[in-house]
Amino acid sequence: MTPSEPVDRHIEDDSRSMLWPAVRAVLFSLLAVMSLGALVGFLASMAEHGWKHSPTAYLALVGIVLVLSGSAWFAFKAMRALRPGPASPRTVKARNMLYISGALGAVVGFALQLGEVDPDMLLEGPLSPGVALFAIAILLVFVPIVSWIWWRNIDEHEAQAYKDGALVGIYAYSAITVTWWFGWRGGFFAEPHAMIIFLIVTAIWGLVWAWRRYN
Amino acid sequence: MNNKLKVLRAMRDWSQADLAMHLDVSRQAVNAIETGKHDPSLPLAFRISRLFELPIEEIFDDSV
Repeated sequence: MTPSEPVDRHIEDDSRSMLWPAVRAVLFSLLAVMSLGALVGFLASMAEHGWKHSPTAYLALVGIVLVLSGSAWFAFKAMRALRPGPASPRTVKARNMLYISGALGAVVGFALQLGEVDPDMLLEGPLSPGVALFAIAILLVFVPIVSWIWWRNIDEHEAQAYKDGALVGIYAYSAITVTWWFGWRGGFFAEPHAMIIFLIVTAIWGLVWAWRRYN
Repeated sequence: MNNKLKVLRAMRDWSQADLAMHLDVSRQAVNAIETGKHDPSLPLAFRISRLFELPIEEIFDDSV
């Protein structure tokens, strides 16, 4: 059988897009992380009030636990759908670095939840010095190490998807930052907020990366 | 770029994941190459060529 002859043998159609399983994995993971944060906050509040609460409050607690469990389960199922069949050692290593990055983010988020002095000032309020130093150490020590190992083990397709995301991200950063700055100076908008811009740019970068990688 | 990767893979009864293992890339990379969304780099094209024991020109076709 030569390459030019038609294939009459059944080939498993594994060319389906992985985009929607990837989107489900991200969304359910975010929901799980947010539920975990809500659970921690709820428990801290209950402990502060000596665990004397109405049945409604305890029902709400059960609801949060159910949302957390369900979203974690669906996130796990969606992530399993992303990797059918065997994977090369490099691919496994790169994937593990992504999981470690996610875990580091969850740890920092958990620490921030505990260390917030004023929860109403989420992006701007003071943090306990220990939590701030912990988050900085994670960012400056562990994230570069994990990122380097991940970058060394991804294949050229993922590297290109990452660069495409970064390119769109830098254009988005330029457009958003300058537009917001002019709008603020013209009296249309509030003063530009660095963390909001960072979150928007990071989200755009991640979405483009996911689209190029899994579509 | 058009290519015969899917046909060559089928001749060996390999899934995309199997081919990805042999090429040391992800399954998504194999899918992207087969569907023409990603053109392999020269080193990867040579690895594909050696794996299937065919010249690059017999696997990939850059004519419009």
